[in-house]
Amino acid sequence: MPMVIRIVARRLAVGLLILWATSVIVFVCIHVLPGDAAETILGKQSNPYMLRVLRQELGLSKPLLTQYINWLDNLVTLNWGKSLVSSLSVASITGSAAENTAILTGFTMIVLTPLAIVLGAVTATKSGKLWDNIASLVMLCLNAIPDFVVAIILIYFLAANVAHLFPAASLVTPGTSIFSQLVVTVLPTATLVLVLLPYPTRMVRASMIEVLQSDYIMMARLKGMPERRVIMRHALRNAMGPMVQACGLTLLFLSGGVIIVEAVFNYPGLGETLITAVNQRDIPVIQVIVVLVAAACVLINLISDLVVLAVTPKLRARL
Amino acid sequence: MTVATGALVAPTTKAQARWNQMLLVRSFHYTRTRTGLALVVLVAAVAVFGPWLAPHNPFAFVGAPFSPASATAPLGTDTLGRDLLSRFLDGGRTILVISLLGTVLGVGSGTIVGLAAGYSLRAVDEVLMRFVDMLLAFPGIVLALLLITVTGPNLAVLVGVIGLTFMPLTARVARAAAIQERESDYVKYAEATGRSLWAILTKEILPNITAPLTVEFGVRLTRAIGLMAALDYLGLGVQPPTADWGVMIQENQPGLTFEPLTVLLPVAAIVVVTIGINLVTDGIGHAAAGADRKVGD
Repeated sequence: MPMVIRIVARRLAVGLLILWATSVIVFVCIHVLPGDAAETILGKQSNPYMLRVLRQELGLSKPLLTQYINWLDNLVTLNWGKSLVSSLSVASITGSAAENTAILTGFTMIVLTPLAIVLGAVTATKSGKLWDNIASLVMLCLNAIPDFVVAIILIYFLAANVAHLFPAASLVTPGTSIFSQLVVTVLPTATLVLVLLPYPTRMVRASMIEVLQSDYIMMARLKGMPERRVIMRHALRNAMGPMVQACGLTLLFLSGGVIIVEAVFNYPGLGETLITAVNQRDIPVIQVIVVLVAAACVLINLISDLVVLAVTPKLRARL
Repeated sequence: MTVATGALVAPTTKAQARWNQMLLVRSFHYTRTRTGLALVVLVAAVAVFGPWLAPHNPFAFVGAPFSPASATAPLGTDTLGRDLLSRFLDGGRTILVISLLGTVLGVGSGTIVGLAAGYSLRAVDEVLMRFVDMLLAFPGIVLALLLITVTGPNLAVLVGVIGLTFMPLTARVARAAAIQERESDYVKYAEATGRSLWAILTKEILPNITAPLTVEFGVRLTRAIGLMAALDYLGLGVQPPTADWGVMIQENQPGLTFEPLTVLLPVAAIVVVTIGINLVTDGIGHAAAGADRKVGD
């Protein structure tokens, strides 16, 4: 067991280090590059007096290292300040948004994972045949089309023009839970599933094909085991490792894709909040969301590494 | 791979390198490459020659907003009453040129970083790759948004944003390929005969890893167009009133229900060009995988 603990500890340390590094990147971006926060906030209406007052207020006249330590301290202690636009606290803005994004992400993974496994397994057993070729061509196209374009196409067909099944924009009354109007999640979820489907499907297909060529599958078939049982009991189980890895990577892609898709549908999550904040140059909100997303990515990486480790004993030795 | 038969014979892989350079030609055996290229050429032609063919100035008002097709506006007008056809013909240049330049920058710098990391000593590799990991901790779009917040959306910045977002991804691909080549005979020979580091990297290793890098370029170009279109759509890329496919989708979206062509035309252009590039890339990947290595994504 100590071996496992050491691996976990090491991964955790690397994760924390990366997280710290991202905090430096965010800080550097916002504070060091030309046009400091005060100029950015005031925009074209700035005058030297206003700039000086705001710089004082933001602590921009202190040495850079002190600024960074103060900034990091506030970030870690959840003392995130107020939005420059709405003067609501950043914590309250991001809190509810994070919840909505988590719901959307959860739905997407719940639909995506089984779909990818089934599609991957089926195309693997029919490898090289017509249906496999058609599926791979469709995946190739889906993989190419940008996520927000898929969203627009879905809006055209399912919301606005051809059929009017689902709302094109998520009009959620502030303060109410997304669970009371789940219909707004349908199109964003569908978009994300379509956009993300090709990668995990291909991974499952590839690892299934490899497993299907192995000796123990031939053995099982020679025993006269029904093909269905061969696939379900032997092949699928052994193809699990790469699948978990694919899931982890898909979640990472999802954390980027969700931002754009939320913005298209006005879904009140972290992504939509971030885009609005960027358009309004609302720096307190931007920095918190960027660090939150980075933290989520580090966490996803860590968890998927550990799960892969748990399901494939062979890998443990190599770490 | 050829093996040296005598001490004086350089164990070059000239044949291998030439074979790699023939990659594009060989990939033409696949129908999908030819189809893809046709699609790309079609859209590129619209983007390049479109501005000269446009019947109107893309900024001129020629009718009421969202009016249907007429003699003056063959495809109708957009959200402000400008000629849809003219704006469509004018709208491909910015997005395609910025995407292309950004991809060249990202894949170019990523190749340099990856080559250096893959070939060099452990310490340099560690430092470079940890830096790459750091950049990869963000999803690309978040990094792009962060940079645009700081600098504001101007065209040069957008090229830099795409480049910086893609650099770490390409660096990984180039590094993995360079590590495979590092131990080969022709590199050892070049080292023994005292060629410079720069020559070993660019004249020996680089020509032999063109296959994965070509595929990488195609994948990144598809992603760059997607990223640019998304940024334009979100109001963070090319700014109105410039005619641009991404901007057009955004500004005409209110008219989707009654004048759908205003949105569907730029959508179609983006879909066709990205699918085209992906088909070509897939063909090249197939042609390369037939040889020495499997090429992923």
